[in-house]
Amino acid sequence: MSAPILTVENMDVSFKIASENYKALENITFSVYPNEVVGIVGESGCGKSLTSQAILGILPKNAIVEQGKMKYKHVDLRELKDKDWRKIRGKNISMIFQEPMTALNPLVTVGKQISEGLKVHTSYSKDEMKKRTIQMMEKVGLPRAKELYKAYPHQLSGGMQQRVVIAIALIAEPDLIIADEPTTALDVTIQAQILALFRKIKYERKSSMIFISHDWGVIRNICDRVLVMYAGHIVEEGTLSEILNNPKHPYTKALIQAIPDHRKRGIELFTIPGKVPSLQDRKRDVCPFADRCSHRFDACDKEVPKIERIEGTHAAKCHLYTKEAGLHRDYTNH
Amino acid sequence: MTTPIIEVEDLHKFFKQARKNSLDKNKYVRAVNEVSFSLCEGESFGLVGESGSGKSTLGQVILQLIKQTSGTVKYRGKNVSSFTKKELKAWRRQVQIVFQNPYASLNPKKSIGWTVEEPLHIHKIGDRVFRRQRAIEVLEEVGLDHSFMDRYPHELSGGQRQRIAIATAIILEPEFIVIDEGVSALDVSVQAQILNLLKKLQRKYKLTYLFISHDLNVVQYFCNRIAVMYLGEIIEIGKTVELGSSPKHPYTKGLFSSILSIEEADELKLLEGDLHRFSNDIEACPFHDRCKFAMDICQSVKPKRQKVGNYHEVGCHLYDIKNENKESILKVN
Ligand SMILES: Nc1ncnc2c1ncn2[C@@H]1O[C@H](COP(=O)(O)OP(=O)(O)OP(=O)(O)O)[C@@H](O)[C@H]1O
Ligand SMILES: Nc1ncnc2c1ncn2[C@@H]1O[C@H](COP(=O)(O)OP(=O)(O)OP(=O)(O)O)[C@@H](O)[C@H]1O
Ligand SMILES: [Mg+2]
Ligand SMILES: [Mg+2]
Repeated sequence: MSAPILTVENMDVSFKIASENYKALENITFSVYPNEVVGIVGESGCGKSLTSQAILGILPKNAIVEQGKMKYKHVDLRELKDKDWRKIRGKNISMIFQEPMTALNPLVTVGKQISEGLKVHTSYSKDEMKKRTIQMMEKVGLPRAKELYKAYPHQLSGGMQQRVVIAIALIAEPDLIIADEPTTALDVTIQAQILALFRKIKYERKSSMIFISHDWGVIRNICDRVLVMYAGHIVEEGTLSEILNNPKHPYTKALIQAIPDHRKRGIELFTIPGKVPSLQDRKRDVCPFADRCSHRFDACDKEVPKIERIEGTHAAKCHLYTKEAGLHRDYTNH
Repeated sequence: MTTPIIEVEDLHKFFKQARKNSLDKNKYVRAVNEVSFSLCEGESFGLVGESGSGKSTLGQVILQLIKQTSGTVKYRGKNVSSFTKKELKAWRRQVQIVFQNPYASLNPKKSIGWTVEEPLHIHKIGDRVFRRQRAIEVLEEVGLDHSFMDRYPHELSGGQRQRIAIATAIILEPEFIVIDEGVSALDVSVQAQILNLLKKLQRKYKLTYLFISHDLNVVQYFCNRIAVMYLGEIIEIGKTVELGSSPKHPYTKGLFSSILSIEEADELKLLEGDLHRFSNDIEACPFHDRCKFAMDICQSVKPKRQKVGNYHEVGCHLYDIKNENKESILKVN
């Protein structure tokens, strides 16, 4: 296998809340290879967006990277100054934000916002930039591109705003795209179109993506590999089929069980009892999922499980699979 | 049948085109066009359709957050445009909305507790202690603990903000809620929790939902009826069981076949044709220039909604009684 385009190693991120430090990400380790789409799933508040913000150096002010390495190819991302970031963001790594309106400037026309990436990273003429911007708008399926070029964000529907954000991220042809719920605001036909566009970019440009989504149908259709996060930990990772067809961690299994579909009409949906604990309430030296787990046993309350390789690329952070607790492996067959 | 809780009659909402100084005075975006339908008490009505087809606009016009260009909205038989100030205020308590973009609807400078309690404030309900207690109660219901009371919107994840918006909408125990992509930002387990909660509230208070979502899996799970919008119009409407299992309109067929399932992958089914170019041709079928079954008549006469089942209506010339090709066309599908 070729060298990864992105590596994250043992990264911890904390928030300062009322002069106390609370860990929000613990021991995050993963790589993204060229031409690979890595999905991140997990319940709301478990740290998916935070992981991408940490990589891009755009954490909230009260957050700190306590330790860990983050490398884009050979560049140490933690060492970058603002001006270095400006060269990299958009051109090498770009981000599609979860909430489009927060990423858009309400006072600037969408055409201007999309072409900004070309202005910063290329020396195209004005006309060329406009032409490419309109082409990009068409590629992401924005209707009436020439007219919308001059529109302001509030004049667009939610899904149209989201496509503007996608256009901004793609225009300078980055080789790593971090997409946070990029298709959540889109209807299924446009979602299919955007996924087809992502696939095409992957195929033609050999780009890589980190794809955050809670929509398993989308994950299924775009990702090569999947990371499952819970309460700031990566609790399971594997290829798409390993995760979907043979999930190991009780949390992953439960998530998959909660997926709604029309065949479940009239039936109460399965939910995982309890909720993701807030940062202040997280227990630190035990399995983070123990309180909500239906397979909990004594080991779970003694220490944080180590990530254990199950086979090949498939690994889980669960005592059911650790060597010491090997006898409990039987549990996992049901 | 009882009086519907909401009746929408021939509703229109036009926006001025983005381009300024346009010479063409007819350049309006017909965000909502000729929309009529009604909602019965206690139902969950799903509104789906292409992005930009006017779903959010329709929801907001119904609640009079945006004024319609023409047409009427009735609430329990009464025209909402004729409400007196007092009636309007009382009505505002009965109807709520969960906005598509939760971040924009939360005041960044106010604590979550303040935001969730605000509706109680506005309607002068309870004292300080009661309000706080009640806010904590609804936070719990949407799966957030009391520690969120003293936090601020920017400290929350996307899904947490979404739940604040839902908490604010249910705190007054309204009769009717427009939920605009209200569960889209939620992961499946919290989503399941919220959907279960909405169902529970519905049983308890006979709540009615207008549920706007592009997640057809969720809509089919949650809603008993579905309307499909395209370019501002409702082109198909029916019971979920009927419409979901046998969509009639070519657009609806395309829409339902684009649902991504976790059981199969690979071939992405793309709806053919260009995305809508905005034709101002109001005489034509809104879908004609993308439709692979388009006939001559589709360019000149806009189809009326007609019955294709007990509670199932579709606006498409393929289903005209006189259409001789009907049988063969329908078989192809
Ligand atoms: N500025 C902040 N101060 C304190 N806590 C914060 C701040 N920003 C985020 N958090 C907390 O950090 C945790 C992780 O947040 P993150 O946005 O990464 O969640 P997420 O996995 O992306 O969730 P979602 O699916 O809802 O978007 C959450 O519990 C959140 O409340
Ligand atoms: N304030 C406005 N000024 C001008 N045009 C507007 C305004 N608000 C909405 N529109 C236009 O009206 C149309 C319908 O928008 P609306 O937000 O209702 O769509 P939607 O169906 O909710 O889409 P989505 O699924 O993307 O949220 C779009 O073409 C949009 O650009
Ligand atoms: Mg997030
Ligand atoms: Mg909308």
